[in-house]
This record gives sequence, C-alpha cells and structure tokens, in this order.
Amino acid sequence: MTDAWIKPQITRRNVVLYLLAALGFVLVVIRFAGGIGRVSNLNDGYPWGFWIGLDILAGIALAAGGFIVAGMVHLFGARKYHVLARPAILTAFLGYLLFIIGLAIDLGRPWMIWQALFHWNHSSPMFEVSWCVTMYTTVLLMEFLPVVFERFGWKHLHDMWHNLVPWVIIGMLTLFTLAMSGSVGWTVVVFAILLAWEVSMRTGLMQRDAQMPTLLVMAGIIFSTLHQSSLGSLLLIIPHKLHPLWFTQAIPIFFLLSAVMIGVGMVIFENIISARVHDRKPDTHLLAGFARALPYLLGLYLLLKVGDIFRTGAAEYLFMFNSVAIGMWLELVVGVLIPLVLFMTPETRESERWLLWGSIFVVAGGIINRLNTVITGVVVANWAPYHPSWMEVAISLGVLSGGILVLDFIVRNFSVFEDRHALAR
Amino acid sequence: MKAMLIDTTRCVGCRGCQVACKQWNGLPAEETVFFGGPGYQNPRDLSGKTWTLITYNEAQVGDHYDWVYGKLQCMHCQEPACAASCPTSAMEKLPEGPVVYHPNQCLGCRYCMLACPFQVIRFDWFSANPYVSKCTMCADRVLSGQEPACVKACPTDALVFGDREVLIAEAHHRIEDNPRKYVHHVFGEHEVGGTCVLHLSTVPFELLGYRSDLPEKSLRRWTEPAMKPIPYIVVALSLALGGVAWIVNRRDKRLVEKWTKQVKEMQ
Amino acid sequence: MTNHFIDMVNADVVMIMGSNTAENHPIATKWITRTKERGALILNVDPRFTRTSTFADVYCKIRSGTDIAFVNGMINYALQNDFIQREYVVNYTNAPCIIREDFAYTDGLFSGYDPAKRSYDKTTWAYELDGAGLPRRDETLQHPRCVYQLMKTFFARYDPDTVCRITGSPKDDYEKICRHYTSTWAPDRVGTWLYAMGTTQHTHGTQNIRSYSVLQTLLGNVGLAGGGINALRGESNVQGSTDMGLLFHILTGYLGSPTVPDQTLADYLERLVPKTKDPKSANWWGNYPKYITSLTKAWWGQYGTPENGFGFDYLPKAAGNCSHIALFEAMYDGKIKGLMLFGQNPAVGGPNSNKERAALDKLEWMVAVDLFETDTSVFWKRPGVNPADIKTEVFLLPACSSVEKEGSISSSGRWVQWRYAASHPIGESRSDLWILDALAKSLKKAYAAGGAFPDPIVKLNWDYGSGPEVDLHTEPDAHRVAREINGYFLADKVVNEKSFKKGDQVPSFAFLQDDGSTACGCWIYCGSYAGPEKKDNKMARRDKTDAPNKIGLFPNWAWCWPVNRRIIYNRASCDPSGRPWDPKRWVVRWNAETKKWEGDVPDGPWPPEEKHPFIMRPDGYAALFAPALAEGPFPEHYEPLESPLRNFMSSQQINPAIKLWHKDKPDMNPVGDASEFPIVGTTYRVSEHWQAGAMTRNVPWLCELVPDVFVEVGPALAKIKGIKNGDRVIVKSARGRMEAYALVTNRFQRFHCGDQIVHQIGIVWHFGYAGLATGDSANLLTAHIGDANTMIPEYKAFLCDIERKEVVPA
Repeated sequence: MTDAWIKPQITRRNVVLYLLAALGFVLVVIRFAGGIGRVSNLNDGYPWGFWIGLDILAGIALAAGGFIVAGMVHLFGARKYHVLARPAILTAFLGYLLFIIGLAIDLGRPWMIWQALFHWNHSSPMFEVSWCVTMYTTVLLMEFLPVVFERFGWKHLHDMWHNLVPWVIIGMLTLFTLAMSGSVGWTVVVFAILLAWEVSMRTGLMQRDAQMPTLLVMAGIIFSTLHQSSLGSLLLIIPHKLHPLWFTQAIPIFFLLSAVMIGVGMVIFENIISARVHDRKPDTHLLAGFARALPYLLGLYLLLKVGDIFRTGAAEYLFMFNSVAIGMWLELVVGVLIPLVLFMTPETRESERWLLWGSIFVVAGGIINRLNTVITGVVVANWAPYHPSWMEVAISLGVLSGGILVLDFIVRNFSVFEDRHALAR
Repeated sequence: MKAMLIDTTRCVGCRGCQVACKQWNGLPAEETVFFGGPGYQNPRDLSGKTWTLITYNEAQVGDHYDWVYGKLQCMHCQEPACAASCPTSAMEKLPEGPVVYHPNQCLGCRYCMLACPFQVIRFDWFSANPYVSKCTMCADRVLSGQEPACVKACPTDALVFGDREVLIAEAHHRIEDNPRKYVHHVFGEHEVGGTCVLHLSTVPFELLGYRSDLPEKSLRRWTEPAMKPIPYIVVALSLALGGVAWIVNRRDKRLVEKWTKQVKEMQ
Repeated sequence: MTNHFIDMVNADVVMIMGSNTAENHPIATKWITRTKERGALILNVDPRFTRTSTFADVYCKIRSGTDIAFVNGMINYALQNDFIQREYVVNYTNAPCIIREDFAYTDGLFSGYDPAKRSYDKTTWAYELDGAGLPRRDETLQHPRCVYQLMKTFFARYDPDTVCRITGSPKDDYEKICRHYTSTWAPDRVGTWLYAMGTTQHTHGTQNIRSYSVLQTLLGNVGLAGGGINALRGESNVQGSTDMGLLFHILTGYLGSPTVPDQTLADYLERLVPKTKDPKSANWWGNYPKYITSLTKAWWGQYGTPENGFGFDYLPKAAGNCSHIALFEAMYDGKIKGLMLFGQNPAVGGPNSNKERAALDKLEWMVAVDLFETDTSVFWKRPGVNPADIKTEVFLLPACSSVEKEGSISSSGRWVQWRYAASHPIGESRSDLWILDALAKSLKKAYAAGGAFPDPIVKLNWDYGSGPEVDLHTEPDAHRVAREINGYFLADKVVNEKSFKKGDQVPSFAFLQDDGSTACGCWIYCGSYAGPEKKDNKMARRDKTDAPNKIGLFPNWAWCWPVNRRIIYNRASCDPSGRPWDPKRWVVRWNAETKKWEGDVPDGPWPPEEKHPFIMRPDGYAALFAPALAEGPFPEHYEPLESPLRNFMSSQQINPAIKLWHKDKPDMNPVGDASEFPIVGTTYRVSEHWQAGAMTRNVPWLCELVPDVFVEVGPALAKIKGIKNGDRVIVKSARGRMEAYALVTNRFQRFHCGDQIVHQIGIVWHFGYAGLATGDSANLLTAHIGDANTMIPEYKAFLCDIERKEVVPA
C-alpha cells in the first residue's frame, strides 16, 4: 500500500524553522570554508563549548528515549507502551543523525572520522563514545526500518530483516568488545553469550518478541548504557578544570541516570507536542503511567547528587554567589526539584498541561546540566572566560530546526504514531 | 626516558630557543605588533606557529624588583592526558620521552586540548583543514641521538637535555647547593604523574604562569576506572538482558496460552 | 679583552658596567652564570634594569654618562680603606714613580691646557727622572708627588655623597658595589670587569675605561685568571677588523697610521717608537721598525726597497681627522665625492642620522656591499625625499653571508677561529674577499694605463689565486690571505740561530726583521699560519684539551694573538719571584729548575726578576698615571655634551679636550639644553636585532620577536607625561624627532641627583625605513660629537623630550 506523499510546505507555523535552518546552513558553509574560529568563540583555552554541550552531551541524552521505550516494550514486556516505541525510536534516530551532523561541524577534520576504526585507543572515553554512537545509530536505523518497509509494503525485505538482524548484532557487539578491550578472551565470551541466546531462540528453547529481534533491543540498551555514561567519562580527565560541584569520579553514573530521566521526559514532551501539532488528543493516561517512573529517578538522582557533593566536599561552593553556584542551583531546581514535585503529585501527573510542563522542566534541566559541565563548570586558569557566540547558537538552532522539519515530514508520511500492526501480524 | 631541565635562574631571556624551534620545525613567523605581553614577550601566546615561548614576568622578590623568564612548551608528561584522551591515537608517547602528534590520524576533536593540564596544545581555528600542534621535543632529533633544537641553541645551559632520572638528581643537587636561591620544588617531577620537562625557579611557579595545584596522579588514572569495566558491562548486560527476555517472553507465552485456553473454555 | 670568555668562570666577582651582556653577548653569560653557580658575585651597574641585571646579585642604577664619577668613587673607596694589593701596586705599577713638580690639577683642568686649541701640552705630565734617565721611585709610597699620593688626593674628592649626587645611584647599592668589588684586592680573590658600548660611546669613553683599568690595577686584578679589563666587542668580528687596521688612525696590528709629518720611515719611527733607559723594561714596542717594515714589504714585495722605506713611501699620509663623524661632515660639505660601504648602514647607525642622510645626498656615487637592501643603499628613496632630486648614482653589490665563505673570525677574547663555507653563495652574491679582489685587479688594470701616482696600486703585491682576470666563478683563496697575514721570508735568513729559506712562513713575530727580509700582513697574527700547508693553520685547531693549569685556556683550540697567549700581562699573575699570587688558579709560574715558565704562553721568556711584566709599556709598569690620553693622566668626571645637570665636580661642564662640531660646523649640528629637552636619552640594542638591522629586520622570525621600535619609559615619567604602555609617543631632541611605541616599565627608575630629579628614557636603535620591520631610527636624535681620543660618537647620553602622540580620530 502506498499513500500519496505529503510534501513539505512552508506554512505560517513552520516558517521560523525554515529560516533558522537556512541561516544555520549559511553559517555552516562559512565554518567549513574559513574554519571554526570564524563562527565561534571557541579558543585554545576553551576548545569545547556550546556545540559539545548542546549538540552532543545534551542531544544524546535527549535521544535516550529510544532505548528506554524500546527496552520497556520489546524486552521488559511493558507492551502497553508500544504506541510510544516508534516515535521514540524515530526521534532517537533523528537525534543521533543530528548529533552526527553537529559533531561533523564541531570536529576540525570530520572526514577523518574513520580513523577511529583503525587506531584503537582503549584508554580514551572519546574512542568508546565514537564507537558506541556509530553502533547505536546503526541499531536505531535497524529498529526504524520496519516502518520504512511498511510504508512501501516490502514484506519480503521485512522478513529478511527479521532473519538477518540478530547476526548483524552479534557481529557488531563482538567487534565492539574487541575494539574496547583489545582482548580475544572477552570477545569470545561476548560472542558465545549472544550466540547462545540467538540459537536458543531459533531452536525454540527460548521465546522471542514478535516484532523486534531481542538481540537488537539488547544491543540498543548495551550501547546506550555505555555511551550515555561515557559521555560523562569524557570529563573525568579534567579534574584540574571542571569545578568540584560537577567533578566526581561518579560522573558517568550521573550522566546515565540523568539521560534516563531526560529521555523519559523527552518522550512525554514530544508525544504531547506532536499530538498538538497534528491535532490529535494525546493519551494522557498512558503518558501519566509512563511518567510514574520519573519521581523515583529524580529522587534517586537528587539523593545521589547531593550525597556526592557532600562526599567530595564541594558543598561549600553551593553557597557562594557566583555563576558556578547559580548554574548548579538552576539545573537542580529546574531539572530535578520542580519536576519531582510535579510528578509526585497525582493530580498534576494526570493533567496534560502539567505533564507537558513537568517534561519541559526535566528536559531543560538536563540541557542546563550538560551545558554546565562544559561551559559554566569549566574554569581554565589564566584564561578569559568563554561565552558562545551568536553564530554558534544559530548553527545549533539551525541543525535542530532542520531535524524538526525532517521529523515532521516523516511523521506525516510514515506510520509512526498510528501503529499499524496488521502488517506484522 | 629523556627529559629537559629548564633552570630559569640561568635563563637570560635571549629567546634563541624560540627561534631555533621555528627554524628546526619549519614554523613561519607570526605577524606581531609591539609586544604581546609583559616585558618583551612576543608573540602573545603559543600557537600553531609558535611551539615554545619565553615569557617575561615582573616580580617583587623581597625588597627588590626582579624580571624572571619562563618557558612555555609541551611538558611531555610521562602519562600524557592528550595521548590518553585521543580517540584515534594521534597523540603518542614515545618510550624515549617525546609526546608526538600524528597529524594524519587527527579528527580535530580537540579533546587533547581540553585534557592537557598545561594548556599547551593549539588549534588552527581559522583553517578549513585544521590541525592541532604543540612542541614535539624535536622527536626527530631525539630519536637520532641529538638534543632538541631549543636545548642546542641555549647559550647559557639554562636548558639541558638528558636522562630523566639524572636530570632530577641534578635539579635536586642545584637546589641543595643553592638553597636560598631556588624554590624548593622541581616542577614536573611529580605533577600529573611526572613530566619530561622539568623546571627550576627562583620565584613561585605561579609567577611564571604554571599551576601549582595540579594533582600528583596522572590524569588518566581518573578515566581508567570508567574505561576498564566496559567488557564486564557488555557481558553482564548481555547475560542479564537475555535472562530478562527469557523470563518475560516465557511469562508472555504462558499468558497467551492461558488466554487461549480461557477463550477456548469460554467458547 | 686582556682575558677571554671562558676565563670568566675563574672570577670571584664579576662587574658588568656599560654592557648589557645578556642582551648583546648572550654566549658570554654562559660563563658568568657558571661562575655565579660556583659562588661568585655578579655586580651590574646600568641606567636600566636589563636582562643582565636579572642574574646580578647587586644591581645599582646610574645616570647615563657618569661612569667616571662612579668608578673614581670606587677607587677612592679602595684607597681610603687601603683595599689595594700593595705588593702588586708597588712592583708592577707606576704608583711609586714621582711626577714632575710642575704637574698640577685645578678645577677640572690639568696643567698645560690651551683653551683656544682645546688641547693639552702634556710636557708636565711626566716622571721626575734620576741621573740615569730612569723615573725616580719611592717604594714606600710616601713621597707627596709619587703617583700613589697624587691619586689619594685627586680621588678623595669622589666621596660617596658626591658620587651618588652625580650618578643618581642609591647610596646603599653604591656602597654595596664598592664593598664587594674592592674585596678582590686580596691576592686570592679576583674580579673581572666587563664593559661594552655603554662605556665607550661617550665624549669621555676612553677615560671611562681608564677609570676601570686604574681600579683593576690597584686591586691587582690584571694578568690574573678571572681578572682583567674585558671589552665585549660590539660585533662578532669587530676585534678582527681593528686588528686588521680598519680604523682611521691605525694600520694592521695597531701600528699608527702615517700622517702628513711622517714623510719618511725615519720620521714615522721617530714619532712612534717608544724609548726606555731601564734595562728591566722589555719595551716591546721597540720592535716597531720590524713590524712596519714587514707590513709594507707584504704589501709591495720586491718594490719595497730601502730607498722608498721598504714601501713606506707608498702609504698614504693622513691629513687631519678621518673618523666617521669627520668623514660625514666632509661629505656634507661636498668634499667627498664617492663612498664605498662594506656591510655598513650609517643612515641608521650613524649619529645625527638626519645630517648623515643629507650628506649621502651630496655624493656623486655610492657603492653598498651588503646582504640586503639597507636603509643606506635606498637613502635616495627614503621617506620625505624626492628620488628625482638626488643625483647620487648608487650601486648595490650583493654580498654573501658569513656561512657562505671561508675565513677567520676574531672574537673579543682575541681568539682567531677558522670557519668553513657551509653552503654556496646564493645567486650572484659573492664574498667580500671576491669583491675586494675584483676591485683591486680592476684598479691595477686601470692604473696601468696611467694616473696620479699609480705606483702604489700598480706595484701592489696582489695574488690570491684567482688569476689575473675578474672571474665570477673563481673565489680567491682565503688561505693565501691568511698566510700573508702570518708572514713569510723574502730571502734566506738565519734568525736567532735558526735558518729559514726564502718563502718559509715566519713562526712568530720574534723572527720578523726590519731589513726587508720578512713580509708580514699583521705582526700580532704572526704564528697563526706557521707553515705552507692547510694543516699548519692553527686557527683551524679544534683540540678540547686544557692546559696543565686547568683554568680553561684550551691552548690548542684555534689560535690566539699574540703568540697564542690566552691571558695577556700574565707575568703580573705572579709575585716578583715568579710564584703565582693565587696558586689555585695559576696562569703561569716560574720553574726554577728548568728555568722556564709553565702554563700559558708568558709575556716573554725572561726570568721573573729580569723584566717588568707590563712589556707593552715603555717603562714596563702598569700606568696608574697615564699621559697618553687627551684629557689628562687621571680620569676626571665631566658631563656629557648634553646634560640636565651642571658638573658638580668642577667648572668644566664637558670634556675640555673634545672637538666641538657644533661650533666648527654649526649647520645641522644644534645642541639642546635642559630647559627645552629635560630628559636624558640613551640608545641600546636588543638580543633579537643586530646593529642597524639590515640582517635581522629582514628575518621574519626576528621581526616577530621585536616588530617595532620602542622607547622604555619609567613609571614616574610616564605618569607625568600621561603615557600608557603601548601608546605611540614622539621623542624629540635638538636634532630630530622620532615616533615609537612606549614601553612603560619599572626597569627604568628616575634618578635623585641631590635635590634634582632626572628622568631617563632608552630607545632601541635598530630601526629604519628598509626591511620587513621598519620604524624610526633612534639616531635621528643623537649628536655629531665624539670622544676626545677615538672620536666614537656619544650615542649613550643626550637630551630629549617625550610626549604622547595624539591619535587623530578617524
């Protein structure tokens, strides 16, 4: 079955997005023609700034919904949330594509990215992040492919996909383990475990999910767990620059935990907004159920974070009046305390409006946190502080706008929100 | 492992090292105007064209004015954070001492710059094909048994080159011989796990633009605990998630069977 | 230098005065920092806290142009406290000699002054002689007219308060310097004295050095390892150029230039050969006839006959002063038609550049031989002139650099080191030797056709292996030049019981003859190339083994004039019996068994008691009282030509013996006074640039380090003038104005001279309008005025004013 294509149109509602995307494109051309210095305030003292904070650290966290929902629905058996799965996976996939574009803009020599495949540096969190992100984007692509097959009615391709994906995943995870550990032992162990699961499923010893190959979902969770946390590990090498309020040996755990919070928040936010845009009624009850996890996550995060601040002896910095303390209070109040109150209260949790606001707070707090860890919290001795230039911000907004336009196009043309199980069944 | 000892008390600020560096490494001159810092300093900072820089620092030592020189350059850490952080191993620590850069492997991610505790790596911000750059300790010279160009050019032996242990012993000797002259610290002996560039000074190192609050442990010791467990996590998650899938799917199958039975019974 | 660079490690106290060693002789600082680590004290006296001051133990500021007051005060301190090495002074100096009764000093003038001629009749500046014609001596130093007693009286006027009032030095620092430096009077303590152009470039530059030598001699520091008077020459081979007679008043080996009265060799020798009746005086200059004869024989060979004074008659006889300033004044007056410049850039480096540039405009032709276009070679298109108005025909001959040619280079420490060409000259550039050789051959050819007195040119002995024709690709042989400089026999001859064949190289100057049988290009270099083969080139020696006394002489590294003697006057390092004053660092010592000196090459082979150690002096004594200089036998303080203060010592404001160009040639020679120009200006160099900048201002790496001309201004003056660091400022003197960046720095502090406050500023002088890095030349401000003895210009002290340049809003 093939519906007529709904072509992208410039309307009063999306004209700003088009303008931002166009401006961003122009600035990106300038950046590639004349160097990063032409469009950004990044400098030798502050080589990382707004782009890394927003496009990469925050962007990846925002896309965490993909592995959370896919895992819940296809692995942990929370099947009632299956309507959330496809949008979450699509958002995550697009999010990662945007991240890759953002990274390509931030990298000085993005065309050399393949070098990471050949020069393995097991001690570099960046090495791990680049592998995980590449792998996980592939996983997301594979998770989204059924939607494409449905759109074009390619049933035999869909069947082939079902059959082949587990082997691809076994290959990917095995290669990944070898790259990360450099150890044949570990590689064999991982290969054996995955093979065992797949063989058990194929022999009927073990049941499998009807729609999504189990190994694919597993791989999504494994890669996400690893790189969501290791985005935090990136900062472990700067104990001399990152402010003690953020610097802790536990930073990978905080990144992982907050990514889950932000991912959940983002799924809620996106569902409500998307429904509003497409004049649908969001399933508030379903979302409220989904949001029940948030108070636990937020509470745990708050407990751990405050506990860690006292453990590392950084508490005194909380009570100074400076940008660092303000930054920390902002991310805690906006991203944790306010949504904690909102999501703990059943009345507000069941209200579409408060659900939206609560999710906005979680997401905003998450973004503030990620920007803090690379901008506010980074203090380089003997160097003038860094502030992003308007062009840096404009490029990020342009990329984001482009992403939203693509998302809109896909949502209009593919069965993302109306889950058509008929084909699969 | 080879190292360089910089005794700032012997330095007379002639900047022969700065020019020798450019000459040996084929680095172009920078366009400067007047002076880029206190005293005669020029250029203002290290850059892709300037890998070492003499700084001129005014200080009040006791009751008299003094003018002391510092030398900025890569410190060639024993366990360099740049090499630990580079995703493509473009930064490499050679067993002979130098930390070298392989430009063809570089992505331009600048993680090395963020990681560097001494703030010496520079990026070509205005190039469409940018690289990072820093002092290489003239690795080409060192590997062929010569001393780096700056050391060779130094007229006063303020720079000396040799085995790290020998130079550390020499540095301590000098402090012992002249305890009133020197700050009792060999900068680089222990900083971030020790460096292959060692400094002696008459004035506190902060005055020369160096940080005195750096940890003694090498920076990669912080990332290692996060990197080491990766294979464990992959294995643990593979086992655990597979187990969950097994249980959940079995529960689902039983549920479906139960429902089917119930439906049949109802029929 | 009496000593040499490595010898600085032997010093206990190093005095650096009038030299920014770190900046201009960075290699020398290696030895100074090394001796400092050994425990030596480094003292530095300078108007400005310099890169040298940073490693000094004591720094004392001094107003420019007041060295004599400062050092005379130190001499007074030594005399009053009896911090002198009495045995050395009594035996080796003229301190015990009694001076004529009619010698006198009154109010800044010594006896015999003629104000009309601005010069002295020196008859009264002489010893009282005994019946045998020897100076009368009082070894108890008690005679009221002995030099020692005269000094005590003379220098007593330089008490610390007076000195500090003149110099503006803080009294504490000044006394510290006196105390530390005079501690070297002890026989086992040695002080070395380093100086450079900060000392010499004054109207009393020679007397500045005199004051240093008087103090060094009183302290017994001359001739010893780690001692001496050490001039750090301003260029790497300027020692070689003076050795080779490039100054107007000397030929090679410091033989005097013939002047108009020296019509014959006999007249010349009568004027210049010193005489003594003391059998204990070696009076080495008594050998003068041998050296001048061998020189003219080297130049004219067979054409130098007894009839023409062995070629002496061919030498030009100078009429009057031919120093730099005098030449440019003559050029300005249109008396000089043509100019050849070898690596010289007077448009930047000459004093009163405005006048010197104007003088160039009046030339008919000019040839510049240089590596780059210099400011002088493009003077005809300098800012502010119309090239069409300048008729001078200018030629620029491309010269190759020092690493592109073979030859010798003489360091300040008198070491002559052979260098090899590292690469071929670029393009059509050629060595100076090639250019001179081509010029000489062309001149010979031109004069062969006739001309005014062609003989000296046509008969010139000229064969350096490049053939008779000028050929671009045939480089003359530097070894032939070196062998001629060393000298050779022109006939078979037996000298000192050794027989030589015609053509043999002369082994040392002791073998040179005055009968025309030897030729020698420069007698002090005799022995440097003692055989016919390249292996006989001692300048090329690279043996790093030290002499047995282990004081860093390294006698087999290169070669050192004279006769490889590394420390001159070294017989003075021993007591009269030949035992070293300080056995720990002996230079030479007398071995009573072998009857020979050991260690360095001694100043003559005679046993210790037989000759006085200062063999170049006619009387054999170091001259505390020296009648040779123009201003007087003792150094006396006079203010620079332009000074903000009156002379506190006497009513003679300035050096009474200097030639006053502003009186003789008032055009473009104005002199400023303190009411209009209240600030003292001085000029200096930085490590990063070289002299007038032709070589360094064309090297981008060096332009990067010091891109612009700048003026260093103290914080007090900056505050008064409203100048901030990095401002553009205008500096003006009576002669010109220049623009520069202001570097406001604590390194320049104002001077408290009595109740007056004197501000001083300093300007780097490397800049000009040609090259990559350009800027105004500091010499637009300096004056045509020179030292009374050497005519070196007074670059180091003049009056000026400074103001912030108002930036006109665009």
